[in-house]
Amino acid sequence: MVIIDKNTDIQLYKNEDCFVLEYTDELENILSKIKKINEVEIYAKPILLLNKYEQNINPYFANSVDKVIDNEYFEHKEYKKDPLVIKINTKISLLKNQKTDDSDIAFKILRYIYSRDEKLFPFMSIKNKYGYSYPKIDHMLDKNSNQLFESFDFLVDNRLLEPIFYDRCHFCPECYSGFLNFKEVCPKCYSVDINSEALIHHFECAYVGLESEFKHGNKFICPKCDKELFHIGVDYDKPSFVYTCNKCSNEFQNALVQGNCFNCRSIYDVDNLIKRDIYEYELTILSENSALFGFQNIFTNILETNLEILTPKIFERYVEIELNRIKRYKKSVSTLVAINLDDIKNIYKDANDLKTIKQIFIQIADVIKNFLRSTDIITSFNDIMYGVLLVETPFDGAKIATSRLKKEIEELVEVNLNKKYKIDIHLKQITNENNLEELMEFFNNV
Amino acid sequence: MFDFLDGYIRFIFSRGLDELFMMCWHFFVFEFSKYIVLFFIVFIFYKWQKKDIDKLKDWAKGELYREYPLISVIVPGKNEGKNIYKLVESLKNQTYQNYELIIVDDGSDDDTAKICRDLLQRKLIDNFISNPHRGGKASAANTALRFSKGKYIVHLDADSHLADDSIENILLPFYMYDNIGAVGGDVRVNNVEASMATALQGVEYLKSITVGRFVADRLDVMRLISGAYGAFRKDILDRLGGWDVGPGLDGDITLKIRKLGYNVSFAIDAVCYTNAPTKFKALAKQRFRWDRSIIRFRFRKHINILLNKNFKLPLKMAIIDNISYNAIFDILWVVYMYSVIIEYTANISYILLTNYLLYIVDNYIKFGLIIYFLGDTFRKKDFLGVLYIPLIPLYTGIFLKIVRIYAHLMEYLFKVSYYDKWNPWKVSRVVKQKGI
Repeated sequence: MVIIDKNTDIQLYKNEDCFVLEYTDELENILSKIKKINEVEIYAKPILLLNKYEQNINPYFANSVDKVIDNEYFEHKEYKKDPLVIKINTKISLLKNQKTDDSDIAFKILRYIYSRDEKLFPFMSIKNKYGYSYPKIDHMLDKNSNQLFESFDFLVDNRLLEPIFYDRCHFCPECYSGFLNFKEVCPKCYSVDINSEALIHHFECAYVGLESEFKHGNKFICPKCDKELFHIGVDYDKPSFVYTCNKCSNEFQNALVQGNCFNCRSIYDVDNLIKRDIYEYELTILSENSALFGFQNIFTNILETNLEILTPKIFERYVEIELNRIKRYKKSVSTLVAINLDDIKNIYKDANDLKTIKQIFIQIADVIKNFLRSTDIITSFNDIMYGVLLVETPFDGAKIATSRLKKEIEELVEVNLNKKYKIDIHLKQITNENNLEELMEFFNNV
Repeated sequence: MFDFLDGYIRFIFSRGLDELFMMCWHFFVFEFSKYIVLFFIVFIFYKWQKKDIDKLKDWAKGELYREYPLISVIVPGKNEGKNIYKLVESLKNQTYQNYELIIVDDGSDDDTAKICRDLLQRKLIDNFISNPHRGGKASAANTALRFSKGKYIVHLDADSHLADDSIENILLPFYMYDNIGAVGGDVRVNNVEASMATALQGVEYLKSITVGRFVADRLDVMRLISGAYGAFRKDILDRLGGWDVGPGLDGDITLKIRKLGYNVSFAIDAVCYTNAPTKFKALAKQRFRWDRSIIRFRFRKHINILLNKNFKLPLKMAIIDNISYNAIFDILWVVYMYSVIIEYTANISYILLTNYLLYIVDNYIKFGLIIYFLGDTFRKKDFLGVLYIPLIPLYTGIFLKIVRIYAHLMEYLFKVSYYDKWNPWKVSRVVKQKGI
């Protein structure tokens, strides 16, 4: 086992049990180097931090790795039997056997959390512009992008991660920095040079004024009735405080609170800052499937949920009933439609963000929904092949309707992504001469 | 019933005018001569001068807009959040727009502070001061005064709204006449249609505020500027240190301004609509508080004004009249009732009916004059008052009179105003100790 340093070719060690890093100034760069590689057996591999000289480890780095180890651990190769390392590697072996594209950061985060099978905790740190970071995944991200929250939002929206409230933070609307200097300013001239002073209410004469108006040396004398005020609560009280602006002399009670960004220097009223909750994240029951097989399942789910899709078995039963009806009355004609979305699936690779893809799939589902009549039946044989039974529809009528459907879906995707995608639609008329096997075979052959 | 009416007609026609006068002397002395006759004289005189007054008003308007001073509209109150937005809207429609709006929350326990902070943020109000611990109306008004920057202060109740030219009109007397320290606005009942109590108050306000103060102003004997709506010169309020502890702080500040030698005026065309209590019980409580303040302030605190050289004779007479009318002649009403019962025991029902009819006729005459006098500003819903006029003698002559006598007696004997929850106890305790 070698210690990984900045010059190590990581690919050469991807079959090792873990990566061992030393606590040096280069640690951050090495972590980034490892975690930015989009291969699960590299970015998710257990990382151990060797504290060779028994230094005080910066907590951020201690949280960035899976374990801090000492010389003894390293020399005795304890990682070989360390349950944590074994557990992570078992998960990685499941993950790496799937053909997935790990270039999407949300997918990568999900897979990483799945490989650890434990909660992902936020960490207060100046290492990250948000002020809060998730040290274990920080190094997967580009430093100045907003990928972190976008990815979490996507995963939570799709119920792939469960958020658990941790804290509430303000962020700069310009650069999303969490490093803000909050200050009370004059609402009129926005000067920070403001002082607060108590108001005094003299019970006897009802005079109200600033404390400084009453102060004469060590005494409080009422400017209205010239009487001395002795006891607070007995002959006077301080009902509230008031600010005075030293720049424009404005007097006010409600100072404006502004956040001044340390990163981009922009200034915003506190109400206009981005307010966001920070969460711990844990896996959901849906996480495993998506971590193993990819996000395509999510979109199949969208279609299935929105279209009320029947199982292939029930669909086959409906086709059988329809076939028998046609055979009996010899008048009706119905048509089977096979819709192949194989090319459409590539949207996932081509689109920049997952939100857009999700939106496109919702719209595709709507188009198909509008195409179907209440008597029509739809099933999905897998995530790309859909079967439809158009009841009482002659072949020509079905052809016109399906060509319209094809056009609408293709146009919809093209408008959104500026790229052409093709969908394949095949038709087969049900006649009294067909048999069920022959009809169902149609879906396998297209 | 027929026999009673027959007997009544015979009784009336068998009496000479002098005897009729003696039977109803209380009406003729205090109602007819004091109000009807006086009003007619003032009204005729006003009509005669009207052209000159209108010219002066036009000139004053020019002066006002030439100077275009900043006005501070101050609204102190407790739990008034729900009314503030309507008030803001009513101010937005004012013909005079150079104003700042300052709201002071005097220890509200509802969402007033939240509402006002929101309005402040949206720049619909100019300043908002929240005092979480209640200090009483006077301290809240003084807090607002402390932060006002305007040349004139317009004190307004939160549950009122103004006619569109109201602020302009309340400012004009400052430019029309010399030495004006404060101007009262015409407060009318907004919710006249809400209940019988508000309809009756609607008529009462028209009589006592609209007409009563108009007459007092023409005679230069104005001695009360309503807390609900009044305008003041800020320098004078500053000199006085603002309002003193209430209740009755509106009458108190008016007299203090008078004591400094300033005149006080009334702008009948500066109309403010306020919501009156809808139930008689709440009305009785309100009047109980108002009436006690007559004794506490006019009789005790400001009795020395009779020796003040800044007070002209008519004003001194008016104040004597006010104190005596409110405090002594009510007792004379009891004396009157007692005397007619003793003297006319057998015919007491005829006497009461005569009084009642005289008061009804008196009220219809006054109401007719008010309609004629107010012209366009008389709203359609104010005509509702016509239906309630037969009840007015019972309302003012019995209900309000009983409340007033009770309030005066309680204040004379027990100084009950010091225990009024209207002021927080921390304040009442101190002013009671000092005998203020």
